[in-house]
Amino acid sequence: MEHQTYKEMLQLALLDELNDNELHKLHQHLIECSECQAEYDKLKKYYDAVDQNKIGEIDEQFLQEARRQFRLKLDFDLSKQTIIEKVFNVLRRNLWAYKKPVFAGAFSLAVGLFLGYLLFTSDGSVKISSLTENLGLTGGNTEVANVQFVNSVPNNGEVEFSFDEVKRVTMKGKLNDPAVQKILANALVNEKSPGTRIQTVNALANQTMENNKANPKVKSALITALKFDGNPAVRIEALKALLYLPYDDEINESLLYALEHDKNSGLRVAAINGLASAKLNGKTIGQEGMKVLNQKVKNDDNEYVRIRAASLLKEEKIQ
Amino acid sequence: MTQEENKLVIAAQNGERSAFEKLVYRYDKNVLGIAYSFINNNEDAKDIYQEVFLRVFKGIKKFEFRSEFSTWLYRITTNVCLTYRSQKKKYAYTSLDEETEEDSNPRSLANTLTDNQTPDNNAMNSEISTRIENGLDKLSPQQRLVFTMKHYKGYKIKEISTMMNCSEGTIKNYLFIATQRMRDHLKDFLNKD
Repeated sequence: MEHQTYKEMLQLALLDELNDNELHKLHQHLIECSECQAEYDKLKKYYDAVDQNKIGEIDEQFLQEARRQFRLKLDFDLSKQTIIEKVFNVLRRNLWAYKKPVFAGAFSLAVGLFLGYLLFTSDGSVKISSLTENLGLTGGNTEVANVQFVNSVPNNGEVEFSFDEVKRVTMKGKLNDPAVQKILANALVNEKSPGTRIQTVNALANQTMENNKANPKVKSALITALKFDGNPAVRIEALKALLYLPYDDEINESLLYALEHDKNSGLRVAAINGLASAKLNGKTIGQEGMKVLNQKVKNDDNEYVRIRAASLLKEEKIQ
Repeated sequence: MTQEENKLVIAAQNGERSAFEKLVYRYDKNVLGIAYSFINNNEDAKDIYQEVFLRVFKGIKKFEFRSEFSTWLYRITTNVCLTYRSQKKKYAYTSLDEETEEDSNPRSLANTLTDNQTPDNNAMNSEISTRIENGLDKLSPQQRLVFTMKHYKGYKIKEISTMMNCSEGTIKNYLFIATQRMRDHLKDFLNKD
């Protein structure tokens, strides 16, 4: 074999990619070849340097943050998708209704023009001429924030900029009103103040307690809060609210997630109690749940969680 | 693929969100790890993570069990990594402030040294880290990805070739070229005794 081949083998050896036979062959060659031995020493030094400066493992907090953001993005995309799906469903139904293609074509054109109109008028920009008509800037209750210039140099006496128009709105409504629920669900996952999130989750908990049901957005927000909210009080209230809802796989999975990942032992206790009461009502914990319980029996630093996990496991096995 | 995972994939294909999330949580630590070691920036790694799992969510109905679910997922991950940088360059609006933020990223290579190193070692390693970082920037996305998956994530060449859907020979080639370029880039340090 040529030196070049041995040099490549050296790299593979240092990367633990050679089998015993290849390693033996290389070893024999190194004994006889000083050039390759010198190359080995240099390579070793290089690999050591890379090894000592490798990027660290990601930590749990970073992972949880990525999960939280993904969950929010998925919820957002799904709600967007629903609107688009609705438009397409209407479109499809209407196209089926018209028998002659010429009508279908005309209808598509009309819908296309309508959608185009919607798209081009909903890009977030406001025509400067209509600004003063639309904004209540002089009205007193509108704030302007985050001004950014599109063209930093004024041209022909004109200036172009964008900004956030922030207007305080007071709303009073029933907790079972979907519009109210949508705002509260949004506040639960996006509001910065933990106090507001606690008030929000309490309001949603009252609603789920009274009605034993929640719209999917509220349920999803409660699950996100239980799994990823930084404040334990919010997480525990979200957990309580979820337990008022009809128990399903999603709730089961969220309780298991809290039991497995939450650092707060009170929350893990609440989660395992939730699982136990679901079990009493005839629900199964599932394979994934058994794994988590097994792990809890061995590793949880809270004695109650360990004992409860062991008894749940026993019951699950008897069944 | 285990039977259990099979069931989860089918349930996810039928729109069960909890099954989809279980699948995500099985692999997402690895996905985030690959993304982070490739891009070396928290926000970008989270962007890659998000993009990967959104693609998985959108594409899972079309998954036909011709490969392992994990193989399919890691192929998406490597594809997103490989295209992320070029797309970001194309669309990103970079300001001086952003560059400063990037420079002071607390997770940069220079800040990942272990506590038991002496100040001298730290200074030396910090310089090497910066050199390694600069060297990685000069590699092609493919070379960089293979380098990080091998050196930082410890995957076998065979595994990387499956994830990137190319031959083992191609992966070795990327690795050899990456090694050569990185050694050239670090030669001042490597020749010091």
